[in-house]
Amino acid sequence: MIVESGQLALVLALLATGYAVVASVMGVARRSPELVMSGRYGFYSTVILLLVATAALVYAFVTNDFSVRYVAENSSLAMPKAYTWVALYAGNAGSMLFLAIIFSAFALVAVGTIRKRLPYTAPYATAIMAMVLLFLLAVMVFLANPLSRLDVVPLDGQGINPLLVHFGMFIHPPVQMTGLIVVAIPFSIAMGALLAGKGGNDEWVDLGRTWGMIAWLILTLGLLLGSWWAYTILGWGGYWAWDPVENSALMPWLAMTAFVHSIMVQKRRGMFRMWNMVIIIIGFTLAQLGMFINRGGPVPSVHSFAQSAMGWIFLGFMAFTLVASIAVFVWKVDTLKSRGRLESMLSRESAFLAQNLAFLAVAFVTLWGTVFPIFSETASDVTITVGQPFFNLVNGPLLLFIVFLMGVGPLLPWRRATIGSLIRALRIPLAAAGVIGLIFMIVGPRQPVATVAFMTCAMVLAGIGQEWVRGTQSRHRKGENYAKAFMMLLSANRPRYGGYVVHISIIMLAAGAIGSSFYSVQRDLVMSPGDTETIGEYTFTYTGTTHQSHPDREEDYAQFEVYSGDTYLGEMEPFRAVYPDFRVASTRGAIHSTPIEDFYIVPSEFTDGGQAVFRVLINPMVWWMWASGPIMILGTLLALAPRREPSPATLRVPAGMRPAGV
Amino acid sequence: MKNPKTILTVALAALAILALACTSNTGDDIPEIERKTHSLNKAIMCPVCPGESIDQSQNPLAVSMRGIVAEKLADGWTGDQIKDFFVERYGPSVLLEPPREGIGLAAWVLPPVAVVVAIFAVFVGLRWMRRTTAIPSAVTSENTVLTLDEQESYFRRIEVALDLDDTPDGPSLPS
Amino acid sequence: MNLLLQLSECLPACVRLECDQHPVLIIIALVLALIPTIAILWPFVVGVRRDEFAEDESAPIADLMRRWDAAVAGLKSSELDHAIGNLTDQDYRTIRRQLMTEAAVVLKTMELEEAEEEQMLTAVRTEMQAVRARAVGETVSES
Repeated sequence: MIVESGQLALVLALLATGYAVVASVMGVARRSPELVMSGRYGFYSTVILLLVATAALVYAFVTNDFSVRYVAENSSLAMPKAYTWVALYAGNAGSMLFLAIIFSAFALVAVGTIRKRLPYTAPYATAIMAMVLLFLLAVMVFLANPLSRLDVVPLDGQGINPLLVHFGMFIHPPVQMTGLIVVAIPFSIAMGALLAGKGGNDEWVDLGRTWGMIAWLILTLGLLLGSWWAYTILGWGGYWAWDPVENSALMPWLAMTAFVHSIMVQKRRGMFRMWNMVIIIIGFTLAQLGMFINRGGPVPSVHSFAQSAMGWIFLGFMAFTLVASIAVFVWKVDTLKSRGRLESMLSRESAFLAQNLAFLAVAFVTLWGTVFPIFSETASDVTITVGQPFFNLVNGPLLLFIVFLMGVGPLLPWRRATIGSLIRALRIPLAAAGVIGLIFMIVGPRQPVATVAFMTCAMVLAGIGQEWVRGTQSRHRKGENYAKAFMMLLSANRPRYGGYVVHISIIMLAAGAIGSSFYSVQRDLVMSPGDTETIGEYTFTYTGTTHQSHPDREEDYAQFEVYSGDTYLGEMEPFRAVYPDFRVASTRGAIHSTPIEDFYIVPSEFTDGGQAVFRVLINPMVWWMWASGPIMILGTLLALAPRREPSPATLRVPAGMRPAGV
Repeated sequence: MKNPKTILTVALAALAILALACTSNTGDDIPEIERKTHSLNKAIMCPVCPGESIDQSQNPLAVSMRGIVAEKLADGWTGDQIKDFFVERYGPSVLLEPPREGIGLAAWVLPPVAVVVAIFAVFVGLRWMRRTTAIPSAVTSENTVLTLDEQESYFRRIEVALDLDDTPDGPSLPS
Repeated sequence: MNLLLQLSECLPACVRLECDQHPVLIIIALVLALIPTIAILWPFVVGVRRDEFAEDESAPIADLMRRWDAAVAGLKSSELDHAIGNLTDQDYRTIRRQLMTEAAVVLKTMELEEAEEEQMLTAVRTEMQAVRARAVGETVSES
């Protein structure tokens, strides 16, 4: 009965959302505040209804109600109750419900923020958000109902996919999915402004930027968490494989990174109005493409546990929104003329344009590589695989160029800059790069590409440091002590210095990627109990294996005693689990992680007699990749923190005291 | 408090040393043949695992393919010969990198073309933006003329309210 | 239509349930249906507190405020860039004059509008005083 209530709630939510679309559009067309509010409230009510439906599903899981098909497919009597959370979004129908409830909650907050500031844009934006929700609800009600019942009730469920049974799975998929769907919010605001004829008035830009940055941050965290999960659980010692599903999550991130930068140009100068519309349309389209490929697209991927034919429906909806967006853009393009003019070919504005196009180039290459297998098959009947070597070779230089821009851009002022001032500003950063390059060439191992990459990172860091130091000094000259000057500098220029903090975190990420890509050491060793091996400064002894039997899996734990030089590091216990029902084996590497490097042992196979093959890796600097996450969050929060500038009201002089002639 | 410049220099030096420490683990002691095996393994896909290289995958077929690679390298085969061997058995899709001929060439040609187009677009875009005259907003300098007195008084009020520095010539002077 | 089919799919489940759950399910259904219904009808029944469309987000005053904000942000950032050394003296002077002029123009326009408003208000007040005076005068002359 609770399940039926949930089903009913879904149907009611579908109707209410449909009403919200119609009422919002009609209300703004007729200038009727009652109708607009009615549509908005109808939209708000779907949040409550979706909560009811979600509660019903949770109840079904907790009571092991295997008459509900989704529960039978994604849980079992043996499953620990804590994994109900993962089971909620592990399968197709459940992940749709998850997307719907999360999106409706975010949209509720978003509509609340825009309706007071943008009374003409808000109804259109609400209607667009409601249309996205309507799509999700329609798919659930008509095609993939998470609460539908089975005719024959099984005694036990099929259980949850064992690869999902890891702490990382509690956060990576929800965060990733949230990121993808929240891109719809800045899209709705931008399109809503365009539909309301306000595309040329930059009122929407403040909230568009805020929600764009929120979507960007969530997407970034999703990608970081996914890489971290792959690194710690998949057991091959890597964190990014340019897998189609990974790529599909990367592409919207690239577009949104471009967007959060170019939107600042519109805010400052009233330029890039057309371009920003184009970018946000591309971003949302790529986000939907991401949701499609994630749901079992036509390209094979490691992530194929959520396979289903329903992916094509997402593709259809993506095509619909793309065509509709382009149509609206063309219809209203006259409202998008720029207010400002570009004053100099060398300026922050032009740096942003170059950065945007660089990001789009990476997105295009990624898209091309991801769909090329399909293209090659249709064009020539030969299926060509496009994997890591291709992406590393082509995207690598492009990404390095973007890092380079990150070092040059902040040194360019708005409106105009001269080559001379730029070169002067670059003196210290280039010197720092030179020093790093020299050190590496003399002392370190010869890896020219990695050396150039590190030099670029040094240049960026030195540039940011220079901005901080000189900025603090300029305030210090006015009388503040250094500490206060630094704090005031940050506080008075939050978007700029928040951005610098985010750039620092990106350099941390880049450094980790460069270190582990070029300098990692890998060996596959056959060891018997009692054997000792040495790699680098690590000495490790394989002391034996313990075997554990569980109802759903067989586990083999290998014990190692590990020394670094003469220091005892402790015991490391990598393991391998085999799930006979799922015919899946999962390995868990044992990782000893320091900011310098990760020492990583993972078992490849166990042979009889306790002998085993182990893969042992030394991955330098991976720690920095994960450490960049919190810094990125801090930087984004600083950049988003609002600050009230002196308003003209404070400058008002009473009428009697104004100079003559005014 | 120390001069910020010193702090910056020290910080950069520390970073340089850190980077060096991280990457000095040369692993020069790894035999050449193992290095070649690893790089080959990363270039060959496991035919039954979706999208994974035989280096990544734990599938028994991948494991046996790794064994074949190691064997053939020991026998003196070159990397290309081993790759051809697998292509004969599983088709060209077993290689993770598109071949530089036939339809695979399209994969390699399009990205540089895209980059060239992007560079072109940047310059064309910038030129276009420089030439386009801005739309006059409802209130422009034309219909709101500032007299010299007005300029002085307004400029002063704004400078005081925003606490701005003087310009290099002194306080803002009307032209 | 599909919707009806879906709803009717729900019904057999209801029928399969024990009879004494029937009325409870109908009550739950009514309660659930009330949620969106109340939400949707609320503005028509209770009324809206203010007309949202009275303030256009792209009214001239909003445009002026945005231009002011942009000018202020530009002044502060160019001051900082000049202090740091990224902006030459000459460029700084040019930009600063541009932005100060923009800010001054915006300020003057706002004050002009305010002055116009005040003029109108004063005129209305004077008019009303005159009307009241005449009314009093008439009353006095009548009495």
